[in-house]
Order: sequence, then structure tokens, then C-alpha cells
Amino acid sequence: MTWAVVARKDFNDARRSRSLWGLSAAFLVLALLFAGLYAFVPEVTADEEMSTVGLMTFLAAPIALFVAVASLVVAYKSVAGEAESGSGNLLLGLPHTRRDVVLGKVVGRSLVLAVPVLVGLVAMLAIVFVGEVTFSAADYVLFGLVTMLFVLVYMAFFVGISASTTSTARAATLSVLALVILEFAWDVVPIGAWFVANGFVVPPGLFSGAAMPDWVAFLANMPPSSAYLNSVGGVLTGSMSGAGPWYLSQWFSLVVLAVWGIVPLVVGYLRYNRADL
Amino acid sequence: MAAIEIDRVTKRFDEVTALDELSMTIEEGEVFGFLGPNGAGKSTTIDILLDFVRPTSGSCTVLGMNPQRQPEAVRQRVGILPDGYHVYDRLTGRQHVQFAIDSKGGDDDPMALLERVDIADAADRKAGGYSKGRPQRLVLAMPLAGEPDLLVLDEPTTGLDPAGAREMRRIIEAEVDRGATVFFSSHILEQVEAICDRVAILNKGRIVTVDTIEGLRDTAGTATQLSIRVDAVPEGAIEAIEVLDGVQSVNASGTTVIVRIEDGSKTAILDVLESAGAEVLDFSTAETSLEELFAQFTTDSQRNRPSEADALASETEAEPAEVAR
Repeated sequence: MTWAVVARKDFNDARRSRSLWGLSAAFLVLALLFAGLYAFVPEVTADEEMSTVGLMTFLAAPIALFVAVASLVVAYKSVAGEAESGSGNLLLGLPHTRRDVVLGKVVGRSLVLAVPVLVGLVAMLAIVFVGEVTFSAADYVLFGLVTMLFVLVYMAFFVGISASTTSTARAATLSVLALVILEFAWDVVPIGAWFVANGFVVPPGLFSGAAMPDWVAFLANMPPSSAYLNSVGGVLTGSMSGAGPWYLSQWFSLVVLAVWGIVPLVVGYLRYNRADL
Repeated sequence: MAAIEIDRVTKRFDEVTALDELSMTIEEGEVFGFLGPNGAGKSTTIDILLDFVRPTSGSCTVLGMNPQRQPEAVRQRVGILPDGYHVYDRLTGRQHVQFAIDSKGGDDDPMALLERVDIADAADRKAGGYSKGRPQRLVLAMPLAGEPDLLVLDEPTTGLDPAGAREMRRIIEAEVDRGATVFFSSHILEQVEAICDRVAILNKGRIVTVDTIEGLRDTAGTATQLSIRVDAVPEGAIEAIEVLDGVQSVNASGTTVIVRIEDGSKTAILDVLESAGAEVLDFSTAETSLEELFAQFTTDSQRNRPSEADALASETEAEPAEVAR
């Protein structure tokens, strides 16, 4: 098990990348901007009292989008790029199994993204204290933990895609396609499925958003970001079970998140493991 | 125990057969040269030994282990300089070597390894900024980590100047003295000539010959090449010449027959052609050098391939015709 050596090499390599520094700076600005908005422009939310929970809820969606895009940038070349450029022969010429390589990549690159996200979260504390936001260390830590899990999941997802092909171009295409479907176009999926299941007749409440059947709600909750937001909501309110069926609960969203991380990674690994490099 | 044993390995990529029933054995402590033109299958062979690529059929062992089943155990004891490698642009030379050491769980001194390949001065610079030749030295330092039992070097002198190639040779010799087996591939004869105990010549995915350099030299020194131009090559004549004493190979192209013989009778060959109904128009002989021998081994068999054989015939500077009758 030499994945830790691969992870350290990868982290050392990636942390010198200019795009990572640009990404980190962008995240810092984004986090401070949103925290500032929340703390100093009361009109942006309906919160009567500014709290850590309120801030986190306000921040979760932009963070989710940032993590999704940033992990694509950090991960899409991780395995395919080494296979294509030939540095993979240097890497695999050393006593690493292909599993070590894939695991090491997930861990190394997750750290690469975790660092700027954590720095952003810590930097936001300044605004929490300056603007009179009620501070809850427990909520802050819980939010940080779920966000780290989310980083790990998206990184595993894109490393999995990268491992499934030996062409950087194809890895990029697949990754962007997946990102667009999951983060931008997913809204159509539950609505479309509902429409089809209703016999190609517009179901009542389709556009008003009311009375969505549970299974449609489940579809709507499926993308990693939705699952992350649902989990964050549960963790921050302290209620993981919710009112609806179990598959709409917040703890189940954590399971959905885990599936997004594990399944593509396993598929990508199996393809990589069979590949001629 | 053999350091490397390859048993009837075939590798097909889609429609292309890269290796065709390749078999060979490399003994422990040997310096073994793997020669062949680009595209002969040298890198594919090495990739299979290290489990970068899986054979379509056949099997191999490296240091007694099956690389398909125990890839990391094999790589733990093998130092590899891969072909077509790319260094990590953002990591320093020292980090590269340290990565190799850590991967093998060793405790070598990275600076000592960098000194052996003479790039200690650039240890803390990013490898992406290295000038030509330096990346090649760096990737030679990496397999030296952990005193491997077997060094596999795929085209190790690529990008090196003559002085660099000499240093490479010194390093290989030092590794052999330590007890390592060295397997290295090249498409340049003189590189393996100077250092190898034995060489295999590979062409189009097949082993053409395995011999010592002296053995090759003997073959080259005593063999003579005859070029016989006839009005038309009679049917069955090639086969008839092939079975004559001392004949090593026969190729025909258009109206020229090329025969390599080792102290056989030239007259007998001409007799065969004439009795088969051919008229001999021209006839020349040439001694083959080691380089020509290599070229001959690695050029496709000319039979039924007129254009290539014509090219070869005109390349081989023929001695003035010497009619043997």
C-alpha cells in the first residue's frame, strides 16, 4: 500500500500549479464576498438574526458550485494525463499498484482542494466576528466536515472519470459533460420523468412546484450538490431524518453522496486496471 | 534462475501484431542488449515485463515472479528507465529521486544518486526547466534507488551527448559489478556493442537472432553476400538454393537474387539457377559488416517484396563483379 507516497508526490506537484493558486484566490474572494453580503447586507436573506447556521446555509450553494468546478479542473487530468504524457510510466515503473495510483490521486488532489476551502472558511471567521453574526463553533466544524466530504466525493468522481480513459481530451469531455448534466441541467430530469410517468401529460403542480411526488423529489435530490445541500441542512438543524420517507432524509443524502464518490471511482479503477498503458 | 524469461508472448493491438510468439531468456548477472529498429516491439516487450501492457497470449517471469500477478513485487526489485517518459515539470530533481526512494521504501541519499548521474547542481530546480539531456539523467537516477536486482533501460541514451552516453556506460558497468542484471534496448548497434554480453535482435515482433557480440561478428565476418541478376527467377529456384550447404538466407526481388553464404560454393548456386532455366546476367559479391548484418536482420525479408529488395541491393556497395566460373 504505497498510495500515501503517490498522494504526497501528487500534492507536492499540484500545489505548485498556478491554476491552483488562482483557484484558491478566487475561492477566498468568493467566500469573503458572500460572508460580507450575509453579514452587512441584511436584505439578501430573510434571516431576522444573523447566525452561523444562516451564514452556512447562505454559503452552501456557491461553495457547492465552486467545489464542483474546481475539482473538475484539479482532477480531470490526474490519471489520464499521466497515461498520456508518459509520466505514468515513471510512476508505474515504481512499486505502486494501479489501485495505489488511483487512491493516491484521490487523496492527494482532495488535499489540494481542501486546503483553499479550509483557508476560506477560516478567513470567513473574521467577518463572522466583525459583523455581529452569532458564532457556533460546533456548526462551523460540522459544516466544514460535510464540505470536506463533498470535496472528497467530487474529487473521487472526477478521478474516476480520468482513470476510465487514457486520453486527456476524452477525460475533459466526459468530465465537462458530467458537470453540466449534474450541476446545470439536472432540473429537467425530475420534471421530465414526472411528465413521462404522467403519460406525457403535464402533471398538476409541475410548474408551481407544489405537491411533487416523493420519487420526483428523490430524483431532484440526486445530484451531488443537492445531496450536499440537503446534508448540510440536516447537519446544521440537527435533524437528519426529516419528515418524508427515508430516501428523502438527510442521512440518506450522505449515502447518495458516498455513492457518487465510490461508484464512478470503482468503475474508473476497473477500466484503468485492465488498460494497456 | 533466469532474470527474465519470456515464453511465446504474443501481443496484438487491435489489428496490429506487436509481438509474435516471442521467447527469450536473460540470465542473472548478464548485460543483455535488445536491438531493433523503432517499432520492432522492444518497448512493448518491456511494457509487458513491467505490466504496463498485458500479453494477448504467452507468459513471462521477471526474477522468478509473474509481473501480471505481482506487479509491485516485480517493480520493487527492478529499476526501470521507461521510454517515452515525461518528468513532473513542477517537481525538483531531488523530489523526483526522493519519490523513487520513498516508493521503494528505501533510505538512499537522494543527493548521492543525483551525483552519480552528475546533476547534483540542479537538485533543487524544477525538472520542467531542465535543459536537454538532464531529464534523461534524472530518470536514470530514479531506477538506481534501492539497488535493484534488475535494471531495465529502454533507449537509455536518448537525448544524451556522447559524453553522457559514456557516463551511462560507466553507470551500467558499476551496476553490473554490484551484481545487477541489465536489460537494455536500443536501436543503435554501437551502443550495445560496447557493453553487452549478449544481444537479441528483434524485428517486426519476432526475435531474429540471439547471440554474443563475438558470435555476431563471426557471422558477419565470414558471411558473403552474392547478388545475382538473372533474366527471370525460375520457380522453385529459391527453395533449391536455400537447402544448399552454407547458405544462410536467400531473397529474391524482381530479377535479382541475393544470397548470404558462409563458405559455401558460389558455383553451386549459379548451377541451380541455370539448370532451372535462368540466364545469369550479372554477379557480384560483398563482405558484410556487423552494421550490414544488423541492417539485414532488421530489414523485412525481401522475398516477394521487389521495391524494398531493390533498395537494399543498391544500398549494399557491391564489390566489382567476380565471376566465379
